[in-house]
This record gives sequence, C-alpha cells and structure tokens, in this order.
Amino acid sequence: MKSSRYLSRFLALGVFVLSAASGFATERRFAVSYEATTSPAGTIEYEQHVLWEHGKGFDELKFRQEIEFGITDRFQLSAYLYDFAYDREDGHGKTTWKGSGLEAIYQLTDPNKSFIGSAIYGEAIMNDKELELETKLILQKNFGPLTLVYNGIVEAHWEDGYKNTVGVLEQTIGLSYQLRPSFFVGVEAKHEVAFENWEHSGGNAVFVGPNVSFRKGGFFATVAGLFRASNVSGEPQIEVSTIMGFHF
Amino acid sequence: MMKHKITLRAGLLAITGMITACVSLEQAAPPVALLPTANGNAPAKLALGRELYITKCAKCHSVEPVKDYSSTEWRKIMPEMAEKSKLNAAETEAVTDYVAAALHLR
Repeated sequence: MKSSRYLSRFLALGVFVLSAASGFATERRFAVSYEATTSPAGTIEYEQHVLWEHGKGFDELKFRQEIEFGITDRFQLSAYLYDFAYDREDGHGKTTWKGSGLEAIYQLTDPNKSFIGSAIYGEAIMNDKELELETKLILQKNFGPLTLVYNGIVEAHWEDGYKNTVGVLEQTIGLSYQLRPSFFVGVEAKHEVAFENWEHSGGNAVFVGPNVSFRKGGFFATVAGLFRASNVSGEPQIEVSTIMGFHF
Repeated sequence: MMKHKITLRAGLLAITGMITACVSLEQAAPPVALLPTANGNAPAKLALGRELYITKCAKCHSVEPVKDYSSTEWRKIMPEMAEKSKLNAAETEAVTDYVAAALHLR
C-alpha cells in the first residue's frame, strides 16, 4: 500500500516533468562514471538502466527507469521512477522494489572552457524500509576526441527498517575515445569499500573492463563490462552495465 | 607472462595512437581573433558562436574540428544539431556564422 503511494507520487512527478519540457538531452558515453557535462536547458530524456551482476552462486539484475531534464545549461534533475531488482541465489529467485528517488547534477566548470571540467552530484533513493544518499565529485578532462573522467563518491545507506547503517566510499575512472561522433570506445574502472556502521571496513573491490557507446538520432546505448580484479568475497565477479536513452 | 607483455604493448600502442590523433581545442575550433571578419561578421557574434560551439554542441560528443566537414555537410548538420542542442534562432545564426568563418580560415 505504502509502495503504491510512493509509486503514484513519482509517476505524478514524471508526468509533470514530461509536460514541463521537450526536446533532447545529453547522451552518456560511460556506463559507470558520470561526466561533468549536463543536459541543455529545456531538454528531456528517458533512460533505461540495466545492471547484471554475476558472482559465486548468485546473479542479480537491477533495473532503473530514469527521466532526466535540463533545468538550466548547468543544472539537470532526474527522477528514478521505480528501481527494482531480480535476485537469483542458490536456485531461488525473487523480485524486490529497491525504491524511487531523485538525482541532481550541477556543473561547476565546463570541460571545454576550463582546464578541467567539474560537477557535483547528489542522489536520494528510498522505499518503505531503506534510504540511500549518495554524493559525487565529478572531474572531466578532454583531449580532443579523448575524454578522461574521475568520480569520487560517498554513499550512506540506512537498511532493514532504517536500523543498520552502511557507508560506502567509491571511486571510478573512465577513458573514452570518440571514433566517430556517433561511436565511442573506452575503458572504465571502479574501486569500492563498504563500512558497516561506518566502522568496520569490508574488502577493497576493484573492477575494470571495456565500454562502448553508440548513438543514432534520438537514441543512444552505452555498455560497460567490468570484471573483478581483486580478491574479495561476496562481491560480483562480473558486472555488465547498460544504459539506453530515448529522446522525446 | 608473454601474453601480458603483448597486451601491455597493444594497450600502450592504442593510447599512443589516440593521443597523436587528438587535436587541440584551438585547432578544432579556431579562436575568433584568427577568423576573417570581412563578410560583416561582428567579432562579438563570432565569439558567441564559438562559445556555443564548444559548450552546447559538445555536450553529447567531443568538439568536432570544424574543417572535418565541408560547407555542404555543415548545411545538413546544423539544423539537426541546433534542434538537439535547443539553440534559438539567434544562437543558431551565431554558430552558423562562426562555422562559415572558420571554414574560410587559411
């Protein structure tokens, strides 16, 4: 009941967003890292995210439906309509609602006008039992068709009815080369470490792998396949992250 | 071991190739001071055109070297990209004038 109330609120927000703007938005060339460029003012885009995680004895598919729109040329706002996941562990599968939320990105410096592009990012996702807050510092350096990005990330999760707290420190780096204005290839890497109640740290999980991005007309797709490069238990061995975007 | 060496060399070769293929921002989008203004193009309008070219036009892709496309190709590209970047009529005209001036740069 509570879930459907959250859903209806976010759907209402989505309808408001759709009615407030029309046009195009920024396509992403990285699937894991964010870029310091934001959507032009008055633009709108629908993004479908799919993340497949494969580990020892488990598989998880996570889905996100995101509507992104440019408020100004430097500020973009997104709504996560209904994040859900399908887990399969030891032969048993279940689908769970992960939550709905909001994301905001503000560009501090443009990567083509300043020595380095930068942006700050904030995100909040919640359901009836959990809350996740996330903040990022995004840095971007362009070398002609080559783009280098770095994200420094701090996350706080309140889980199990908001009783348990987990902190996560994460950093990502990405390199993407534009072969054509519609086709990009590159590599992405991610390092993360979790802290139970912000005290006991888990292992250092490091992932690295290639990415490709393609766009045509009002559509783009970006895929990154990351492979775990560190020996840490409980983490996936493979992560395949896909983003498909459609312009209205 | 041998496999790792080959992978490392291939990676270094690819990165070297990418870096040598890079052009500077000034080469891709020449500064207004270098552009001809004889066709009645006001420097302020060209400056606006360049500003939009390197910021709004480069939100979805890298700054494309203006000279990579002919004037015929630019005539096809501009309307589509102007719509995609949500440029208004004055902004579209400024970018069009900037691109035309940069194409005539020798």
